[in-house]
Amino acid sequence: MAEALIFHYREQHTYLNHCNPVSKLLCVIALCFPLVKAPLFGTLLLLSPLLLLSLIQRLPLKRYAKELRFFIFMTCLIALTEYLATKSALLALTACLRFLTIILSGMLISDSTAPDDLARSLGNLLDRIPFVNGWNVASSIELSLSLIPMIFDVTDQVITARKARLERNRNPIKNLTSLGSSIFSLLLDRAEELSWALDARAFEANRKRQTLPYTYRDLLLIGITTMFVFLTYMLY
Amino acid sequence: MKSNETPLLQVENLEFGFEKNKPILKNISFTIPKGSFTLITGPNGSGKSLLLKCIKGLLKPSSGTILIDGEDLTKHPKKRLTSVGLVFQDSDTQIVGQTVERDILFGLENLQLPLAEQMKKLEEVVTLLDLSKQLKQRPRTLSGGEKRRLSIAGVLVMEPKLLIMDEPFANLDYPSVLQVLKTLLALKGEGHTIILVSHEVEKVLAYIDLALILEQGNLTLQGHPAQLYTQFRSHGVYVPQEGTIEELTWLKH
Repeated sequence: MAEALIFHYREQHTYLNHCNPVSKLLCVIALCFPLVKAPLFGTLLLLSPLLLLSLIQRLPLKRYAKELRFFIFMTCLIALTEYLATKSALLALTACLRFLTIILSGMLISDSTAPDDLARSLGNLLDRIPFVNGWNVASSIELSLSLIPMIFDVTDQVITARKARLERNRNPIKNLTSLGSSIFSLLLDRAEELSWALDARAFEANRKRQTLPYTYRDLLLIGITTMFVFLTYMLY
Repeated sequence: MKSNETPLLQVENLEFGFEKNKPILKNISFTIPKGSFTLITGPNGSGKSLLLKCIKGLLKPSSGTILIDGEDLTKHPKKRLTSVGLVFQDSDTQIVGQTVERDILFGLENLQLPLAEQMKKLEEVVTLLDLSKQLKQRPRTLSGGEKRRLSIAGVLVMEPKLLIMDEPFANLDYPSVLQVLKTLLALKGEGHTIILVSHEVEKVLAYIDLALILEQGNLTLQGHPAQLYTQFRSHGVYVPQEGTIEELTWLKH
């Protein structure tokens, strides 16, 4: 059985899974605006509904532990640089919470949204813009999103193979360059195979697809998000 | 096959190469009757997978013709994409849906069939390939044999005239090989025309109607396996020497 991958869709019957991908995307964008300058309390206010949603969504954080180490490392790095720059533990904590809010919202949207659902909703929206081939853009986004788990997968394979062959810790720059080129080359191979597989099953990026409906759930999601965004701005 | 019946696939003088004047596949000609089960085999690097991709329409032959059901589709790779179904060697590459159900529906959506028809075909294919219980599962969590059946389902549901499988037994354990073999025989029983590329010839030799051997891009041998049985080894293909072809079956139980 394959291990769980972070930023990967899981088919479930949850509130977020039934919301329209465009609504979810708009809510994440809306949350990001006040987050840029939100103080500690404001950031906590924006983080709290996301924590609640991650409980409802039953995010398998324990199973994601391996990949989450990278984000924990990044959080520590952010805390350190922010502290060194401002000499304020409060500001460092706020920066970390902002980063975690962004990661959590990304995890929630990818966990509850299949890339093809996102493409069919976004394509319909973008196609209304003059001179924009909305379906083509949406297909590109869909394929890019499909590459994210592939990147994690390939990176894991390359690192494991190197460990198995007792790779020594040489110059870190040499290590990184060699690792990066291996990952990149393997990714190119996978991408070529994926492109063949898509062609073989008559995939066309420009094809119009059935769109997903908007329901009362979307209205509720947008309403709650607007309320939290408004409250955060009030705290500025 | 009746002598007046049009063969499903006719490949005539097919050549393919990545560089000009350096053909990898050289002057390949063969005919596949409707409803037949064909094995293409040969040593590594003999061009088997390239030949499949040319037939499927993923690669453009340098010369030669490909006729499917009597229609010359050499210059219509898009038509070949829908007439010919190709199950790739690596199932993980072919599976693009986030769940088993979505993956099977992927091809049907691309064919732009009405939703009701898509659901009907989905039900038929999951029943045939015994995937009903896994419909909502993520493909990554399936076993090797289930993944292989899913990749066959994803192609089969598009109802291609010709089903090609590239190394369907690769990396599978004994029970999974049996599952895939039973699936192939069930498809053969339903009248599907199947081409199989495999090194593991002893697993299928008892069931096939036609065998083709490729060596260094040349088609060196073709005919009924019973006629070619003694020649396989001299062409770089391993077959057990004991017993008859019929005794090679993996499905004794």
